[in-house]
Amino acid sequence: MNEKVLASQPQNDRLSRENGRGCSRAEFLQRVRGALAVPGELDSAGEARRDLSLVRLVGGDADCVGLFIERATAGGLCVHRVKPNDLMKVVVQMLSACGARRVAVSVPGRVGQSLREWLAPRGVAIVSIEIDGSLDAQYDADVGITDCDAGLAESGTIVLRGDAERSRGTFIVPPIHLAILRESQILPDMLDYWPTLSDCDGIASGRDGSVHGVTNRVRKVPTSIVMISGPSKTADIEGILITGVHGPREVHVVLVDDR
Amino acid sequence: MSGSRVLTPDLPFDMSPRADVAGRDVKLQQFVNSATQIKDHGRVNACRAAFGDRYDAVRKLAGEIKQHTLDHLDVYLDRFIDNATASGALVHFAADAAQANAIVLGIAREIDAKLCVKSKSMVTEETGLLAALEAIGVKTIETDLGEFILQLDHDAPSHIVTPMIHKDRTAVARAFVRELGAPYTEDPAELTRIARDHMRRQFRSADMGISGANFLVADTGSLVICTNEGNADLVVASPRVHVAVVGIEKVISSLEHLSVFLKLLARSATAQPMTVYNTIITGPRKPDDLDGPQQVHIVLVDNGRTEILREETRELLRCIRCGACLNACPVYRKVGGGHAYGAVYSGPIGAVITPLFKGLENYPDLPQASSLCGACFEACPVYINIPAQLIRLRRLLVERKLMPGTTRVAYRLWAMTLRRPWMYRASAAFQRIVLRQLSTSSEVEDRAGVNDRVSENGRDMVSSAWCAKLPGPLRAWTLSRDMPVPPSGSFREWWANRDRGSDASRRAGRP
Amino acid sequence: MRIALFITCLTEQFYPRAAVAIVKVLEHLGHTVEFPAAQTCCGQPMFNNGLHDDARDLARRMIEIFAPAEHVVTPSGSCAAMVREHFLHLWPERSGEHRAALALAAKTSEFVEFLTKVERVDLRAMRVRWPGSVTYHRSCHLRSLGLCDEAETLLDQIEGVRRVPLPRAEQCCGFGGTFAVNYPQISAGMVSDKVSAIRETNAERLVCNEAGCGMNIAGACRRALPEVSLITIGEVIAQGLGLLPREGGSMNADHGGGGS
Repeated sequence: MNEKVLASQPQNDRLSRENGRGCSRAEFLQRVRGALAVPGELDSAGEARRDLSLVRLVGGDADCVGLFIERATAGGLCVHRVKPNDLMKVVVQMLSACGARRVAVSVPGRVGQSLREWLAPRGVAIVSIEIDGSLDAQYDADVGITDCDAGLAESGTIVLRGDAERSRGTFIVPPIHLAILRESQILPDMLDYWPTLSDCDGIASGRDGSVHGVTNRVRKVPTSIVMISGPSKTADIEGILITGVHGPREVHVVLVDDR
Repeated sequence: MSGSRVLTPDLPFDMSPRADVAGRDVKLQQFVNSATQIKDHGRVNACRAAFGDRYDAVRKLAGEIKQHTLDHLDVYLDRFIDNATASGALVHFAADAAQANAIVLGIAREIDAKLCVKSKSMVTEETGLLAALEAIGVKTIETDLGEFILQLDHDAPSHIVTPMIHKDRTAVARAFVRELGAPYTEDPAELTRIARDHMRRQFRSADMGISGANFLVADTGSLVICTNEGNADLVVASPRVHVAVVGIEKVISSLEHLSVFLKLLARSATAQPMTVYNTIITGPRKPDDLDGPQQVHIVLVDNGRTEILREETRELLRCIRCGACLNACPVYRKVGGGHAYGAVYSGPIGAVITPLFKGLENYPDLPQASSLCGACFEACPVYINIPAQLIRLRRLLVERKLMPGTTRVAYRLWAMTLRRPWMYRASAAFQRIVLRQLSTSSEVEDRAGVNDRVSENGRDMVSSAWCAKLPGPLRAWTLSRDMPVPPSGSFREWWANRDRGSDASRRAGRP
Repeated sequence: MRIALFITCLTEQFYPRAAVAIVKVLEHLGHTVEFPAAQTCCGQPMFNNGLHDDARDLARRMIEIFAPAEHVVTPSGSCAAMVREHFLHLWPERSGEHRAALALAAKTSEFVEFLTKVERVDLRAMRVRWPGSVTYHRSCHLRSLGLCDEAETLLDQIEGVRRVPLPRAEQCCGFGGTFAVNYPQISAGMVSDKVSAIRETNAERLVCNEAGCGMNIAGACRRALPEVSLITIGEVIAQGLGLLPREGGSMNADHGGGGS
């Protein structure tokens, strides 16, 4: 298995050709070039650099927190506003209100530590999320608790990442998701989120409101970014809206007033 | 009819039998009509609420961005492959369906997979991947609820986004009893819970997750997957191996541009501001990641796309599979949804790309079964001129002599009369006589006295006569409506006679 | 100005009074109307069905015939769209024929478009009076001309008009030219939906400016909703100005005389 993980692309190409399973990269791209008028050229103006302000839905001067709460609620998220000092108390209250016995905690740092300290003596079992990269243990959790990377006011969306400290299963496997978001993390528009990801120099680009496509830099993005705008939903059966199909049926955003 | 037969009918495919049956199915008509209208009106409301007067400008911008990417697809694909590889993903190249299936089967064999879970991928429907996997003993479960139910019931999707638009809850209940041994219930929430519990067991034990992708981001080498159910997030992260099968046209250049499409996709598809889950995946689990799949394979698929990439049809590859054109199309409504198109891609977009993928001679009906109303063009978030592409295919039907000889001759004769004013007037007069004749021989009486008015020169300029039954090829008209009989008064005679009248009175605006 | 009337084959054959109405209204507005007698058809049926060589011949013919006109007005949105949009695709850009097509496109208007965008009429100020209950069918080709609710706005300016909006107005009536004959079941389903929508309005008259749509819908109404009859907006305005007699009225020039 490990060899497969480490297999390089050229080796993969060779394997593909040998097994008759696919074609080589060069052959494939040649098929594409054959259909294009001027293959291989990308003129200086042509990096699809376009003013994207046309699609901006929320400007920097808006009441982002208010809009976030309104639109998140419209999308089916339950927003609970708390003061920082009350965060633990509120979380414990919410867990007890839904009768949670087993909880998956994917919150790094001090907040995660505090959660563990508060939950352990209250008879809530913390499901381990660090067993050999598998999500399996989290299937037995009643609630998954995560932090957030950002909130987007334009659509009432929370943004989560999956990385060294954050699981890719906690927001999706347990039937209830509790997301801790700080008010200072709420951005006006999705256009404002991308600059917060670090570029390949390792320097965060900051929220300078840039709207043009930044194309020459390769962003170092986390393995997983998930934008969540509601509980899991379907209307496949006769157009009737049902929540909790696969992902959680309830998503609670605990919004910490840290401003 | 089994699911696979529905979308792979005998060729050449004749749309009429399925369309006729659907036209008479009152329940199906109700379902499809109301579902599509609700979504279509919802799209307009959602997009106007968000973009106001800028809606059309935003559609054009999205179209231009996609068009640019396609115009330079080799550069952007190259960039995507480099960045995806750098992130640890393995990129494979499938020129056609056979290669795509072979690649996935190869991966399944290598990891000794027995069970796969799958989220929505229309490309895999094109290639028939599931049947190929089954043939080597690998079971694959569709996890999108609609697709899951269709798979269980050996049925086929009838809509790009809401695949079960043609099915009601009782059909679901029966399928669950039969295939899952579940107790009979018609309650949608209960049915969903049964499906969820069943599928969760599959997620936990699956060896491989198969997905599509809505977008491929060249700058970062990322896959973007959008769902409302969240099934894709379980498919890509629960099993140890994730295989994404994606058409090459899904490439966009940057995360910034992704914003444009994410803001349009859900609003166009289901009138939501945003799909519930937008997931951006860049490579497999990194050495210090907490969890995630150990392998990510990206199978880039051509399967006819490089042909469509040629300039005349390139705009069709802008399609982001939102289904807005299906929801807007009156023909789609009347033929009862996607099954009538006999192919994976239905609706207006399907009517154009299916003949291009599968051969115009195999699907000659699809581009012709349209009134060219343009509702699809108006709905498309990436501004694809589908009516123009339909007309282009009709031109090819003529050039390739796929139009019946007699029809061609009839049109040419018609065009001939239109080139010569005397022939034009003579044939018009002939038509008038014939239709008047047919009117008096039908059972339809003139509604005398209401519309019969005499023009100032004493001739009828308005007719109240009708034909209830026309002969020959025009008979089709009178199957559902009467044919008006032309009035005996002619505009040209009126015009000629009035020239002799007083100039002064005319300029004063009196009759 | 001098306006050449492009009557269109369907209007000429089935609804000549609609053309008479347009002539009278344009003259009432002070224009001189011409009728180039050599005109026949813009070639739309050939174009839509892929016979582009024939379409090109007919388009070329039409461009020549209307070249001397100062402005061209037509009652049909689909024929106007043919001239304004599709003629331009029949020849390569920068060719002489393409330039001639552009010139014709630049001076061709659909009738309602002419009234609202060029003439900018105010029917209220013109004291147009036409009592009656109507609903309006918007033909699909108006989309490509960039028109939406101009005709409804005009109708609402007419004293006495009681207009009920047509539900599901965006759905095509199912005419589509030869589509109605080639795919009769699908077309029948679409026109049946349109008749149901009209029934919901309880209007007495269907106002429709497109001869193809009119034939289709009126023909279906004959069978399912015979109390509703068809009229074009040109006729409504002409009658409302006393330039044409209304049904049940006399021949003299009083505005909207007897009858409903």
